[in-house]
Amino acid sequence: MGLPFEYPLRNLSRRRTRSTLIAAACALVAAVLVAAFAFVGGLDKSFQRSGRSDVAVLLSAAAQRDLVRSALTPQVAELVTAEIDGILRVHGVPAVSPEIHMATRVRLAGKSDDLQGFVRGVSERALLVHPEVTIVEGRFPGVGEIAVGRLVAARLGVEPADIAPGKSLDMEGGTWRIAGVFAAPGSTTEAEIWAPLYELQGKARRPDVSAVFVRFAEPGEMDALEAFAGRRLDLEMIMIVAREYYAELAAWFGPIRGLVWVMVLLIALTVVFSGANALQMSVEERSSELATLRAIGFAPRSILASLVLEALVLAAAGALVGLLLAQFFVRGTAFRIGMGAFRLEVDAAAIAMTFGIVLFLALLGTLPAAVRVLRMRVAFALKDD
Amino acid sequence: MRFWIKLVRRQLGRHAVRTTLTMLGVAAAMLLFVGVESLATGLDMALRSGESARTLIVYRKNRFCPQTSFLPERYRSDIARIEGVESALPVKVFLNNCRASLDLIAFHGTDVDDYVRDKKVRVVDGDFERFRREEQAALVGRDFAARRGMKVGDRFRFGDVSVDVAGIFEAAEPATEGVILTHLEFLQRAGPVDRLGTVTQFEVRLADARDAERVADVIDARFATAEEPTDTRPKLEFLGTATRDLRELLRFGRAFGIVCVLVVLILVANTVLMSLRERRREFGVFRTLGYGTRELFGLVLAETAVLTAVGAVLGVGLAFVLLRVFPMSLGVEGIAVRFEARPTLLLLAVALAVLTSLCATLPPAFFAARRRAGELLGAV
Repeated sequence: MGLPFEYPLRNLSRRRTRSTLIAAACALVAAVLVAAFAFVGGLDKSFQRSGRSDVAVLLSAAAQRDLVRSALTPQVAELVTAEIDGILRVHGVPAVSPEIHMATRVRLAGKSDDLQGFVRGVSERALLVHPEVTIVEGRFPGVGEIAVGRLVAARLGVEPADIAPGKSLDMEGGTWRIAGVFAAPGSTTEAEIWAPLYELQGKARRPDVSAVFVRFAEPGEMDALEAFAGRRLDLEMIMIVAREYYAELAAWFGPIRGLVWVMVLLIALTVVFSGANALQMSVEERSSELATLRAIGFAPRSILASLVLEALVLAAAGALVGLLLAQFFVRGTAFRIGMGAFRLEVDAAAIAMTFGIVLFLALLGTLPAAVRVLRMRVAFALKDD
Repeated sequence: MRFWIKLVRRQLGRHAVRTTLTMLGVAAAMLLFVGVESLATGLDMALRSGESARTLIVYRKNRFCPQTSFLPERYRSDIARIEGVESALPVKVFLNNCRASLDLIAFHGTDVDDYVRDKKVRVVDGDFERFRREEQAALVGRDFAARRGMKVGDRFRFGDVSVDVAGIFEAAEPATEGVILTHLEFLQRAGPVDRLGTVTQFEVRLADARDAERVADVIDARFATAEEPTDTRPKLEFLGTATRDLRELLRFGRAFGIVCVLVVLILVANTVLMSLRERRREFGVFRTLGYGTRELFGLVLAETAVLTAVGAVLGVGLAFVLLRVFPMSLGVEGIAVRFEARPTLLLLAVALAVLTSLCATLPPAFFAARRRAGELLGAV
């Protein structure tokens, strides 16, 4: 014989303080779990979306596969355009983009604080190679101008209004007017400042470029570029597929992700131990009530099911509150890390995983109570009272 | 007193599973708390070194990652001639990456005798003279050696840089113990040919800390029109800016730690609440025997304090052992910040756990201790 569904629900309202406290703990855990998923998801996706499989990057062999450290002769772009077949052409313009990637100090006009920014020196061809980039406000920068990504404000730690089109900032010894804002949804590119390549070369006093990005009509055509890089020993360069390059960058943050999961694990352990305790006590406290149920014919299994249901309803209610908290505090928050920034992303998978984990923790916490119910000797439990 | 101690011990022992679970919950929370706060302590120690006040860092203007700062080595003599400057140490920094990392590899190529003197470097294992003699030899910081399990005689290779470990050193500043020290020219030759004769930064020691601002202005003015202009800042400010991203990570970690402490607070309050309800008859008997509100209130608080303190000591002890056996450091822009589990932090963590749980216990303990014997016994 099974217990009615209302029984566990009534139990929850009978002990309001206890139920509220456990639900509050579940809410906090759910909020933290969502934050962790959003952090790791945002970090991973920002690199995944930054690299395409049809784009190759040429960078200097001595750069340890790091764009910031790389320096190539600027003629590489012309040489590649002339010698390599299969490069994507849009209205006859080859998708070959020589670029400078550098970390630099930035100062907002009229402010004295030095901020850390990441600037990319580009020509208009960059838009052919990075199709994920769209100018959403203003226009592509001309002489003395820059365009800023939507996450640049987060990267610099300033208000978005401080870097709106029309405002100026100082960088590399010059004053630059902000001509536009670009979007590159979910990629690290959104935390960058784009400046005209030749002007940046002059201001930064570097005649070289960091890398040359080449987009192919078919990814299979890249072999020719790799062979070219290997043949031209005088240029001292290597070729990497952009997706591979950004995957390496993402892997670099692996230990940081690991650290986040260790923190989540410790919080989960705290909840399992303490939650198990609460449920164990709840069974002890109600031993005579549960023994009475056994005495009148309810099977241990149905009593156990009722306890599990009680815990799950409580955990689910807590998780819902936690998700709402996360929606308020976490969603859309930008996080600054490693010369870039990314947005914390709370997606359906994160919500489902969080819900699943909180319910699983509740089930795990029910285990000691379950053991107690199954081992309960009715006569003793009734006599105890 | 002995009676009360015995009573607390018995009460905790009577519910072994309950006691163990609560202790483990507190231990897990404190393990996390100490993990996060040890990084904060490490960051604090990296920023607060004795010589920081009278040390300036000369960097390439507008750059913040060591991989992008190139200054001509010859600036050294010009800087050294400026009034108030005691010494100018050229340092070439070669990193695996500027980004935040748990496995920072940072080579410092420098004038080794000056570096050893200025940074109070002491070789604790190996042969300093061999290091001075051999071009490819390196001294490895104690922290880095422990992290990588390196010993004297090993060869370490990263990219095109390959060094023989001639010794392991300790230094006055914790951050210095995370680097690999090489000869300046050796590290300069490891990079591209057009970067020969360049260094990443100069560390300038001043005779008087009060001169810092003036000397920084003089240095920057001296090179304002040179091919590589400089940006000179007090070391403290330089480190503070470089570790800004790390503080952001720490902020995120601290949020987790706070949540963990809150969860413990909530669940301990719940446990106490239920335990007191369960022990109403017992409290009624105490009341009948003449024990007052203060004694019963004290008994509940003592039980909670002991329970939490044991759990906290367990968690804090585990954190201490783990950080000793597996030393960790988080690097950013070439600055290694060690996870430092200092005794003060460990004590603070235990005190915080006990205080938090006592706060959670106060309301239920107060109401339970105030009830009359008849009320308590009658409720049974």
